[in-house]
Amino acid sequence: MHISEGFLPLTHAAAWAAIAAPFAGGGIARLSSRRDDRFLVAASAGYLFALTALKLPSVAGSSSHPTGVAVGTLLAGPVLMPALALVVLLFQALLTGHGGLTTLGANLMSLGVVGPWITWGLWRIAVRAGAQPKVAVMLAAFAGSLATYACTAAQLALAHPDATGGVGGAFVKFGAVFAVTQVPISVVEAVFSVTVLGVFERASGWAAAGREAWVRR
Amino acid sequence: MKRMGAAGLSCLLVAGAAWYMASNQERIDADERVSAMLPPPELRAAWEPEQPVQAISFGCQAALGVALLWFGARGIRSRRG
Repeated sequence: MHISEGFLPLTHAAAWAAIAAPFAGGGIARLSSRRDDRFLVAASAGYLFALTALKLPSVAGSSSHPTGVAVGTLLAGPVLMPALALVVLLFQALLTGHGGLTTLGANLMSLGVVGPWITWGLWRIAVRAGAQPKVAVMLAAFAGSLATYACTAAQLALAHPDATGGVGGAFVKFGAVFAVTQVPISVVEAVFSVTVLGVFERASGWAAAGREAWVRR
Repeated sequence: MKRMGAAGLSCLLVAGAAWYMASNQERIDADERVSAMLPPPELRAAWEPEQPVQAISFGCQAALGVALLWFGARGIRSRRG
């Protein structure tokens, strides 16, 4: 889901940065107001760091990385995620040459905002509909991972519309390339998220969806 | 001491896996596949690491992630206890 340096026109890059900035600000504010939860934040950030570094092999000779947003979102809530994603994306843009500084806003929207909120929303819907907790986590993680890549496909389609199909045609074109690789990886990520959250819950006693959602339930 | 050893070992294992997978040039990254469909970039990154350096960076990132995960999980568990 990383759009590399220079692949977005500067106007698009600036617009995505402006849209992502309030989310990042909200995440940083939440981070500083929850210093007591530093261990939870560290675990969520660690998971995000580790998973986005793993280029897993997928079908048709391709590879890609899982997003790692589900565990952090369900442990610490989606408001915090843009702050964690910002650190990860900066690290990758500066040290691994993955992503870019001008495309940071666009990448932050997909990894830090769209993925976590889709995960969170679907998890809430599934739990309220009476789904088993594991099924709810699996569905949410799968959808969150795919949504992250769908967001990137949409961002690229807006910037580079297809000559004949327009923005819709370009979205289908980019989405299809991502889907071939990402659907199997999202399945793996969903299973992995359930496993990690299960281990975490048993070891720490911390219910999935963090303190906030836990209190609200 | 045993737990520190386990944490260090898991950091090394995941870092090694990340490095190995990032070093594999037979498979094409999905982001690169999509980038190849786009017009040439308007800007170039000031620093673009060579592939082996990039693979090492991914290994370091994974090790940092596992270390943070261990720190967080241990902290939460000790608070609970």
